[in-house]
Amino acid sequence: MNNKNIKKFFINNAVPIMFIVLSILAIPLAGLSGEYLIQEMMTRLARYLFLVLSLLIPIIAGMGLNFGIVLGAMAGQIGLIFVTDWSVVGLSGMTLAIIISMPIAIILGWIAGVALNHAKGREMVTSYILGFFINGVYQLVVLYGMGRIIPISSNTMLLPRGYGIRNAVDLENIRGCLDKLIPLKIGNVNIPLATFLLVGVLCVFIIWFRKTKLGQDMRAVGQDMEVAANAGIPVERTRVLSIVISTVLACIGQIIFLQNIGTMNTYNSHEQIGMFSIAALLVGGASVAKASIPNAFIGIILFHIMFVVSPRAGKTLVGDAQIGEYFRVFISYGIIALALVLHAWRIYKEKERARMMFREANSSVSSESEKG
Amino acid sequence: MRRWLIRLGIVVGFIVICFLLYSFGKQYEIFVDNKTVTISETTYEAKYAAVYNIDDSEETEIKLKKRKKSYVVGPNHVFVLKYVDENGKDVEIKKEFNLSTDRESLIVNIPVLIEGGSEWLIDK
Amino acid sequence: MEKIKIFIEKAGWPRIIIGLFLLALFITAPFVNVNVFTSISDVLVRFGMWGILVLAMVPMVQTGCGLNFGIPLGIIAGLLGAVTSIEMNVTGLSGLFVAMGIAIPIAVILGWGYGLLLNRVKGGEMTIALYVGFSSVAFMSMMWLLLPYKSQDMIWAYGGQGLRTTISVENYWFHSLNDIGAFNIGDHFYFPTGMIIFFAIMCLLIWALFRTKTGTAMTAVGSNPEYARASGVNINKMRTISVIISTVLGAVGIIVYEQSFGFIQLYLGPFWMGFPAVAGILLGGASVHKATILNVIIGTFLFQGILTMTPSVINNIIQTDMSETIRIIVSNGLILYALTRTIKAKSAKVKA
Repeated sequence: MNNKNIKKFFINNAVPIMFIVLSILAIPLAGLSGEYLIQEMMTRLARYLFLVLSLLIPIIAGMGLNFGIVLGAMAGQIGLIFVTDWSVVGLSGMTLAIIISMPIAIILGWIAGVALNHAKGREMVTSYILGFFINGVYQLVVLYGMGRIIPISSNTMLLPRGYGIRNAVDLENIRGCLDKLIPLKIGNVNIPLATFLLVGVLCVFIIWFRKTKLGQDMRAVGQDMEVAANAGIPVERTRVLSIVISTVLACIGQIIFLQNIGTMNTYNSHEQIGMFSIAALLVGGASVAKASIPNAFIGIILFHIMFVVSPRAGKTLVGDAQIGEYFRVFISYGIIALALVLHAWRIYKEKERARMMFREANSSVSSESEKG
Repeated sequence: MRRWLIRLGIVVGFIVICFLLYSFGKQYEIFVDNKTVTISETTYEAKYAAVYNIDDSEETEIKLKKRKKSYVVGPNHVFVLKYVDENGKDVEIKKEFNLSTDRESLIVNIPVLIEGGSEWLIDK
Repeated sequence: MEKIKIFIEKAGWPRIIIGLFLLALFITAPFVNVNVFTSISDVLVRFGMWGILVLAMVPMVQTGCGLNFGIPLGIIAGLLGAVTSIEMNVTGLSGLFVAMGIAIPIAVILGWGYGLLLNRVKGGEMTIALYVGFSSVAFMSMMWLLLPYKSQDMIWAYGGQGLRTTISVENYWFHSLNDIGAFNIGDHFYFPTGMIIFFAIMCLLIWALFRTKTGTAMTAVGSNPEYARASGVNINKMRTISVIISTVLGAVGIIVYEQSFGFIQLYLGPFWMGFPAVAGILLGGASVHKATILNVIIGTFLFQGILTMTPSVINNIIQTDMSETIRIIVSNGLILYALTRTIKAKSAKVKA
């Protein structure tokens, strides 16, 4: 391996490497036991994997980081509200929630896809703002519509004033229904096998999907929209489809996430989902243009180690856990910023190189024609 | 044409699944009362302490004037009551019951059950 | 009839619809027990508060750097200035100008670094700006806890270390700008003359700037980079200058905001402040590539007007407090509309 290759490796994987270094520094500072960390990581992997994996397909299709998975999360939450109100429990409840939220997720995903098609080149900012906008509509429905226009019978879920869902909804009915389906315990660590199996199914789906015609279309669109259009691929429709699939997967992912946690913060659970999932994917070495399944696994572990460890480390270092909290926020956003910068910088450098070569080719041509 | 039929079939299939999930997954509250009650102008006296279980659950003791709460999931269940009557004989009553999805909370009145009344299971 | 048609084309349907909506709100107001004069006052005050922050969007849009979602950097410089001014215990108008005096050099440095960064990532400025803004707010949140400020008005009461989340400027320069030449009409109408005049001065400065040679160069860089390069203009330098000006305006803008609002908001306060500013300028008819001072004035007025009036009027009509939700839907909806609109104009131009 010569120097150039080593340098390239470090630049391409700068983010995960930095994270590993940070973790190595921070873990001893936090003073948490290895076993505790492993258990935490198992739980968090089960919680977040499905959600993070839902980000992959839009990246293949060249839509960048889909901050719009929040829309899928909101759809899933609406399904959960109904299922909890109807007292449908256990795995049946969770499955029912998934099925009834799917139409909502599909519609929201379609809206997002169409909006993003109108904002080519600005997809990420647009999906970010779209998340806020739909959050407003979600609030309109859940905080003002439910109980009034939308029939909700359960009094424990409604606010004292008679309409609007409470801030925290107890999901005791479906808590752990997927996780504990096939319990596995290695040593002192509980592993939610069923959840991982479901994630495995998703991975197989993604790998299979890449090979289908639609998947190949998305790849083509992701690489170059004009070339794809010339090849007869319906570019607009393919882009919308990628977002719809992503939103539906995020909807399922959010339901899995919530069944693990057991309580739903009606107005907050979905807000951070976009940011956390994207940060985790980027930490795992993915970029705006390229992401794979290992990125998701590695990313979640690294990101969440930092997440768990930094408040404690902050306390040990400076005597104030609050600093650790802000440090965690700083790192989450900083990582995304860094990954975006590296990606944009790489594109810019390639454009420069292409322009340089173009200019050289032109000058050599003109000098040739002078001679000739 | 065929594609639309298949799509319609899938949608209908999903709707059917939803109904099945709803019927088989819905949870009901069952309160078990061992109190003296009056239903339809007949008074049933609570006379015996008893023990009950629903489906395969553990036996729960219920003394006089007490109320216990259980949860059941799905439509079909079996309620088993065991008590000792005045003559010291062990009596066991087994009742199968079906719940339709429009019900939410129900009460089992033990005295009514013991005397063989038809309204041993009523809505709250 | 023709004149009306031309006006509509120039103003654009969205602005007209929103303008009419705002008018409708004002007309409905007295019928639902909302005092029109108080409302107009409120709108004017908010207009003054946000004006300079919206103005800060103009330089970077003109040089093609896109919408400055990274304005929190400028805001942080302003916060540092404000907090230091209070630490130095300077009150009144002098306190205000000391704050600005400290904030501006910091903003220049931050803007310069930020400009260097943006020059290396041409094409992806907006999303990066968003996250640079977020990261810096988070970073400063750590700093607010650690920086050695001692003023009793600012630090935690019993902790002794670290600044409070919200710091009142009541004893220092609350309304010092607003009240200059301010007047009241009756009980309900208050006109914050000082702040409005200051905003007008800022607008004038920027307008004048864009008439200078540097200003024209900056506009050229944004509208036609090839021509600019051919004319010998240093594109990167112009972009950096625009970023610096934008950041400085952000710093000054937040100080003006604070003196009217009455509080300095640290920690995660500046997190979302970029969005109303962006919404303001987009609503005023600016696009991602072109923005004028008129856009700033119209847009800020419309945006703040809607944001002030919609909640109060609608709340009284349906007897519920929906202000927060309405605000979210309206402001984000507007930004969304503007973000998804520009591409049509671009592709139309390409086809032509």
